Amino acid sequence: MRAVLAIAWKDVRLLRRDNASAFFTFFFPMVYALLFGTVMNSFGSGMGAMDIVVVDLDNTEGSAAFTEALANSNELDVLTLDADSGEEDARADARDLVRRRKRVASVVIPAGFGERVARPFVSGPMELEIALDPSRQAEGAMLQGLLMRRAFEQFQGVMRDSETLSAMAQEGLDSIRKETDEEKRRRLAPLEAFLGSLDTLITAMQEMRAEQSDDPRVRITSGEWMEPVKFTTTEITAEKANAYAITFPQGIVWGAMSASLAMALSLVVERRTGTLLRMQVAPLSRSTLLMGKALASGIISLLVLVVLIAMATLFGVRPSSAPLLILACGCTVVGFVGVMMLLSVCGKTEAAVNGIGWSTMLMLAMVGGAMMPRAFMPGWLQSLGMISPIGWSITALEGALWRDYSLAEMIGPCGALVAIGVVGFVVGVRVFDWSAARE
Amino acid sequence: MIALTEVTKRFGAVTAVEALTLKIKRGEIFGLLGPNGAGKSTTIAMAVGLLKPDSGRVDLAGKGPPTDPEARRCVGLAPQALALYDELTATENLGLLASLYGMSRAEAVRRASELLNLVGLSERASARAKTYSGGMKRRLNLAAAMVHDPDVLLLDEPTAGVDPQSRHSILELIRGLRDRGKTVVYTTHYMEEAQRVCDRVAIMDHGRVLALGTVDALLREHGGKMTVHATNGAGERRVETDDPIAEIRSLLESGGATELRVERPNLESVFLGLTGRRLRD
Ligand SMILES: Nc1ncnc2c1ncn2[C@@H]1O[C@H](COP(=O)(O)OP(=O)(O)OP(=O)(O)O)[C@@H](O)[C@H]1O
Ligand SMILES: [Mg+2]
Repeated sequence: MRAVLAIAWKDVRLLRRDNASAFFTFFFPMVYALLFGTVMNSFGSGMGAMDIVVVDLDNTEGSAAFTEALANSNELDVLTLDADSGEEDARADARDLVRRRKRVASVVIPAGFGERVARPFVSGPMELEIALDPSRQAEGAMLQGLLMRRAFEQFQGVMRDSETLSAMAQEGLDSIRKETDEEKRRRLAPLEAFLGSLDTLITAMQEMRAEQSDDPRVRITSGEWMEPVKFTTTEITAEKANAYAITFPQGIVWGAMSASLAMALSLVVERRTGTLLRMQVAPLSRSTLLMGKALASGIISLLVLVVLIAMATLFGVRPSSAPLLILACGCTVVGFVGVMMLLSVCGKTEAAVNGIGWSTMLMLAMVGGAMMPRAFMPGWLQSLGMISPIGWSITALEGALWRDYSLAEMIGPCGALVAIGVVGFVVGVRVFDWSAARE
Repeated sequence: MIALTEVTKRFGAVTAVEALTLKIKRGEIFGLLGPNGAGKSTTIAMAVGLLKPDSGRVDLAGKGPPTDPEARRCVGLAPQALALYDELTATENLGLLASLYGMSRAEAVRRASELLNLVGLSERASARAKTYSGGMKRRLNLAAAMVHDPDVLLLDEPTAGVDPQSRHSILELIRGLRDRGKTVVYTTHYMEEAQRVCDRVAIMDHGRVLALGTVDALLREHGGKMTVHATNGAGERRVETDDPIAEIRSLLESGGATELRVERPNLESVFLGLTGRRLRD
């Protein structure tokens, strides 16, 4: 028992002496919980808006009102495209925005929408076409919910109007019934019949609404449910992007992360075992030494990438452009080398670098959108994602795999990755502790 | 060859090296002696630029401070704490270092086998360093310092944990280096070793040089007198004297000793004389 206690106490003491490691054992979970808490809290109100593009092919009052309602939703950031250049062009433009990751989804309001809003029982449910980014299914589901809600509100709007309509009908009927002049009454008979049936209809609709006002679905007759909105959802570039094309970029990025963490650790190990000082004594500059480390990290990451891409090919993933895929891989490697450099200088023990490494990776993955949809995060957290190489490399890899990016479109994510790599390297070289003191 | 001028290094409250000035001459074997914590390793680390002195200057072979990579080219270091890649073989370890100094592959391989031969590890050349015994690692660590055939070798306790036979061959090797015109700075706790090979020694304690000079000069100045130990039935007597022959004669005349031993002053007694302490207390 004495020995057990002694061993346990020794370990607690060792952890306490390794400041960085202790910090991350206790502090990081707090940061993480707080960050996730912020995200959860902001769900709805503080949540960043989801970017969508709306194409109105109907051009009626009803469709305009619906677009307006979408634009006024806090949850959505709506870009509207007009269909002046032709329906198909507008559709294609909208899909293109989704493909280029500018928008999460495109919502097309087809002709006939206004008519259906106004006459839901005659013309059938409202129809909407959604084209979704296949890598963002969660946001797609959320979008459908939102659209459904807005559409239902429209529907309710019509119902609410029906009250005035009903009053007007009732008024009309009353005045006809009060008419004493036989001649006049005969002439008004068809109108009386019309207003009578209108009143019945409106009353029926009102009852229906009262019955289940929270359910966006509307009961028409007992047992029969009507969807007020019928969605036609397609995924962009569905022909190229099988499920593996979506999952492999994510896998590749996790692979690159582990590889760079392993290399970051190796620098600390060399410090501990003393081999680092052999290199320090050799006539090498500090940046030559670290460049060697960076190159090793790059080679390992590249190997991981090559293996994973080869595997993806076996699973039927075909890149839309091989040269661009090579570019994306190269830039991903550069970006992660930068991360490696930063990690390797931020702790002096393996435990510390490991702890800092994984927590950083989790954070980067989170803000980079690899763990939860970015649309679910508050705006400031979304902009923090700009510094995460994870988001950028997924964009670049997807761009080359199935998003059909052009070279110009690759410049954004690739440039960001290279910038992260360069900044990481420069800062790493600056911060690198040359002293032989082994702490 | 190496000039340290007024260098000081502190670690928090501990002053490891204080205002130390050393000028090491070309072609000499210089011994840095002192008890644990005297500041020997810290001095060596500053000499090669692994530690930045808090104050003072270091100059390597007139080429400037060791922060300049080119100045470092002329020194080789065998650190006290073994610095080897455990997962690499002896040849690979040496080959890697050779490439750091810009040697071609062929050159590196040739140099590695030459050095392994020199330190007596040829037979284990292609075994991983982690399979080596402590003494073998120490010898490989020494070989690693010589890969680029530097003019100056800084050997931090090259004989620690080495068996007497290997120790002998390491000392011979160090002598051989001097014969080839190399300068060797070498730290040790073993006084008899230093006495055997060093041209000059500095005795350090608490980060300062207490005495510096040739072994003979130090013995003369600080070694004190010779001691005659005489044992008879009554016990042992120690007599310090400048003239042991006369002392022995008078001892023998005054009642017979069964055993006589003359002890010459050594570096151990120099240290004792300087500090009032024995070296390994
Ligand atoms: N990294 C460090 N952090 C704090 N103190 C240190 C550090 N390195 C050395 N010291 C202190 O500096 C002093 C000199 O240490 P140094 O290693 O130079 O002694 P040394 O003469 O080489 O001893 P030894 O014979 O045991 O190798 C010691 O008091 C030691 O505790
Ligand atoms: Mg030492």
